[in-house]
Amino acid sequence: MISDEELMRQIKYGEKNALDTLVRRYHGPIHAYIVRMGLEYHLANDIVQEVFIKLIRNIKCYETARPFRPWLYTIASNTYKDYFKKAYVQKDVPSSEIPETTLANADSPEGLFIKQEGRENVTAALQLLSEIHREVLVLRYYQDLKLDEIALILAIPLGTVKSRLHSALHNLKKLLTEGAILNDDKVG
Amino acid sequence: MTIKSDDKKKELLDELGEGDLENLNTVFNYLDSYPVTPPPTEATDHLLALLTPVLQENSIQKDVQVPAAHSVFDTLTERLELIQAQLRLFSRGFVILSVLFFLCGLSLTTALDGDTLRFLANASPLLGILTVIYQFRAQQNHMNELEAACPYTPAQLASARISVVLVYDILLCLAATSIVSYGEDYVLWQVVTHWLAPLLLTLGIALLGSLRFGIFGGSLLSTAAWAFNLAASKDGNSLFSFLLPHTPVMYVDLLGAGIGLILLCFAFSGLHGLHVWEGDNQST
Repeated sequence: MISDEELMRQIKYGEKNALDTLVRRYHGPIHAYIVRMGLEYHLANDIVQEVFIKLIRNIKCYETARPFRPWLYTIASNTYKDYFKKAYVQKDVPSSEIPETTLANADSPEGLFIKQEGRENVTAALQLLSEIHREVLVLRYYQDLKLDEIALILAIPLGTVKSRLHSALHNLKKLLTEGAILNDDKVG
Repeated sequence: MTIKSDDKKKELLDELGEGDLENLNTVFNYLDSYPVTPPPTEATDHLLALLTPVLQENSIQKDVQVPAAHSVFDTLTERLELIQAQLRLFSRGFVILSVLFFLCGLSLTTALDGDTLRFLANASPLLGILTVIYQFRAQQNHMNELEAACPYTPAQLASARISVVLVYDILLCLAATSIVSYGEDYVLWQVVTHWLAPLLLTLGIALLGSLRFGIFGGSLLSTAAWAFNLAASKDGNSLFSFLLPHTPVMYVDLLGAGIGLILLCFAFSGLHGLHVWEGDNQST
C-alpha cells in the first residue's frame, strides 16, 4: 500500500489517481471524526469538503518528510472549530442529532433498540465532556491516532495528551455509571 | 470505527499507566456502541469531482513526470513563501507608529541633550521587543490556522519571523543612523554596532526566554533586561561598559553583538526538534 506521504508527494505534482486514493482512504475517517465531535451527520459533509479543499489549497507548503495524518487532522480540527465559532457568532449552533442513517445495522428490532439507546447515551455522554477531553478521546479511541500524533495535532505536550485522555475516560465512566448524562452540566 | 479488540484497549491503558482493563470496561463498551456510518461512495465521488479543479489550480506542475525527490529549490521556495506570509502580518499602522516613534525620539533628544547616539542605542532594543511582540502576536493569541495548514516547525516559524523582525528593525535603525550621522564625523560601522549590539542582545534574550515562558514571557524578560541596563548603565553606555570599564566602547559593542548572536543560535538550536513552543501551550 502506498504511504500517505508518497500520495501527497504525487498530489503535489497534480496526480489525480493519488488524490483519488487519498480521498477514498480518509473521507470516512474524517467524516466520522467530525460527527463524533458533535456536528450533524449531513452538516459534517460540508465540513469534510472544506477540509479537503484546504488540504489541496495548501499542498504546496506540505513537506513530504512530515507525517501526513497529524497534518490532515489538524486541518480538520481547526475547520470544525472555525465552524462552531462562526455558528456561535451567528447564534446558529446546530444540534448534535444524528439521523437514523448513521445507525449501524441491527440484526433484530430488539438489537436496533439496544444499539440506538446505547448510541444516544454515548452521544450524550461525549457531548457532556468538555471539548478538550472529547477531542483527545475521539482522536485516540475512534481515529486510532498515536499519542504523539495527537500532541502534534493539538499542539500540546505529550504529557497533556495523556492527562486529558485519562480525565476523559474517568469522567466518561462517572457520567455513564452514575447516570449523570441526564444532567446538562459539562464535566472536566 | 469498529469495535476495539482487548489488545487495543490494553495498549491504550498501558499508555496511560493504567493496568486494569476491567475498571474501564464499561466505558469501552459504551464507546464501542457508537458507530458512525461512513459516507456513501457517491458522496466520495462527488467530493473528488469537486476537488479535481482545485487540484489543477494548486498543483506545482501539470502534465509532467513526478520528480524523484523533494528538491532544494522547493525547500527554499517554501521558506521564502513562509517569510512572505510573515511579512503580510506587518500592518501599515505599526510601520507608521514605529517611524513616528523614532522621529519624535530623535527630535526630542536633539532638543534636550543632542546625544542621538545614546537614543539610538536605547531605542533599538525597545523597537526589537515591540516588533517581536507584534510579529509573534498570532502565536500569543493561539491563532494557528495558517501554521496548521502548513506544518512548519517552531524553528522554521521563528527563523522566518526573526528574519522579518531583524530586517525591519535594521532598516529603520539604518535610516535613523543616516539622520544621526548627517554632518557628523562618526565612523559609520561603529554607529551601527552601537545600536545593533543591544538589538541582537534583546532579541536573543526574548527568543531564548520564549523557549521556557512563551514569546510574551520572553519579551517581558528582555524588556526587564533592557530596563535594568538602562537603569544601571551610566553616561549612556551599556552595562558591559560598566562591567568592563577600561575596554573601548567599540569592543564592548562587538562583545554585546557577539553574545546576542550566540543567544539567538542557542535559541534556534533549542527550537529544532520541538513540535510545540513550550510557553504557549493550552492548559489541561
